[in-house]
Amino acid sequence: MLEKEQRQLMGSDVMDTHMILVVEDEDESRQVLMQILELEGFKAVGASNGVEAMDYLHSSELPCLIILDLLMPVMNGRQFRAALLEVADLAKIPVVVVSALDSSAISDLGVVRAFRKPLDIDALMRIVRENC
Amino acid sequence: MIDQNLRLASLVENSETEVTALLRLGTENRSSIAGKIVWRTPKGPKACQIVAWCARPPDEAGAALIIIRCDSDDEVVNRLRELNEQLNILKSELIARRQVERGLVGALKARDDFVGIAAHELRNPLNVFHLTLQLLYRMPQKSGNDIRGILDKLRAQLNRINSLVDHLLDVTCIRAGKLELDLEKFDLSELIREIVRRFAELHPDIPLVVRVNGAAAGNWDRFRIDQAVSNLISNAIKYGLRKPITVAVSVDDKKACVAVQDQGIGIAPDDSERIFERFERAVSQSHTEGLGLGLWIAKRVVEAHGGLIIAEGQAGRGAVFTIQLPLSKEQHA
Repeated sequence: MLEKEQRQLMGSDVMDTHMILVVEDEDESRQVLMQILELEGFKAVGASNGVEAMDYLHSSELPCLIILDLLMPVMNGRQFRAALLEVADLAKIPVVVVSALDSSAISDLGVVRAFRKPLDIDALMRIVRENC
Repeated sequence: MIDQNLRLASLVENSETEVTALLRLGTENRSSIAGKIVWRTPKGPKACQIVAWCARPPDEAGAALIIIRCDSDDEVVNRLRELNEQLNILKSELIARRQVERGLVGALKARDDFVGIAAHELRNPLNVFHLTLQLLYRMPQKSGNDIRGILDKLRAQLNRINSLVDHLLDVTCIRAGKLELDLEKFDLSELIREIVRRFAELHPDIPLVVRVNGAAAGNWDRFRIDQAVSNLISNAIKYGLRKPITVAVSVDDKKACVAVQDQGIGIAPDDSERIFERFERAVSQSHTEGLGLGLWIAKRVVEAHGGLIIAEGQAGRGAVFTIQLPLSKEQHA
């Protein structure tokens, strides 16, 4: 269920400096966040779990940032993060975690920043601009 | 100490060495010590088993209080028997208390886990609400349709929050034994059609089929039955893998039944009872929305009507949840 079918099979080492991948299982959260990112001038692609996100990364241009939820079915955020770190090109992509979980559950993931829901969108946009 | 020795020594036949040793033991040892002394009595010497213990340790002047309990052999045996009985009772009480303690620790953990789940579940709709407001602020030009669409989203999230809070309050209410039924005569078949219509509007992509054979009138609490059936359908949607769901109503001369059948992940045999407990979910590993209270509430509601709720199914082969409701008011518990 990937939004924005932008799969142009450009090879996994090409980084799109304005594209952000939003990995979030809750449809509403994902869609609204993508709309906000687009209104702020970025391209946004959505995936509803880690497997979909990984499929996307292996077949399309790489994003400049990944916004990642943790609790998801199929492949959760923690598993997805571990899978990213196993591939050199993917491990370079900065990751921001947005979760309803306590930040203590996030400290070991090695991400740029961890946000707790409800999301502070202004703070997120600062991180997005720094990285994209 | 010497005075004490002399005072005790004048009362007993024991040697002074024995008395001194006894008193030393008594003052040095805070737990009781056992021994044997021979009292001088008007009727002659009387041998006794004694139990002595230090009630107050020696002060600066060396004065201590040592209590000596003396029993004849029979008394000692009886006393020992009594003490053993008391000890056994205490042991049983201790075991029972430890069990209660374990239960309480488990209950506290369950409550803490639940508070975490509740906070998590409330944060998700709050997050969408918050993001949607941010979207509204950021939209440069807003048409009437844009505003309406956003307001609809906000209302949907408020309904989610409201529903979660209702569930939380219901748990408190049911636990306190304050679930009161507002009974009225109505047609269950009609209510089921209405509930299914509501779900079909919310989930147009999931096939929902109603099977009803005529009216099924009875005296029930419409709001609570709606809640119980809605919880079952909501679960069927959650775990039904988007496959068709059938809601069937049947009636005989004593009871009406509502069966909600899905073709989803099903229920493992070991889970068919557990899933009706509070905060339990058939699937505990993956993330699913909700507080895990739906079935617990449905069961309490149905039982308050004097009815039954039964879960059947196999892992991977879907599940059927059946509510049985007595038709007449007299049959209510």
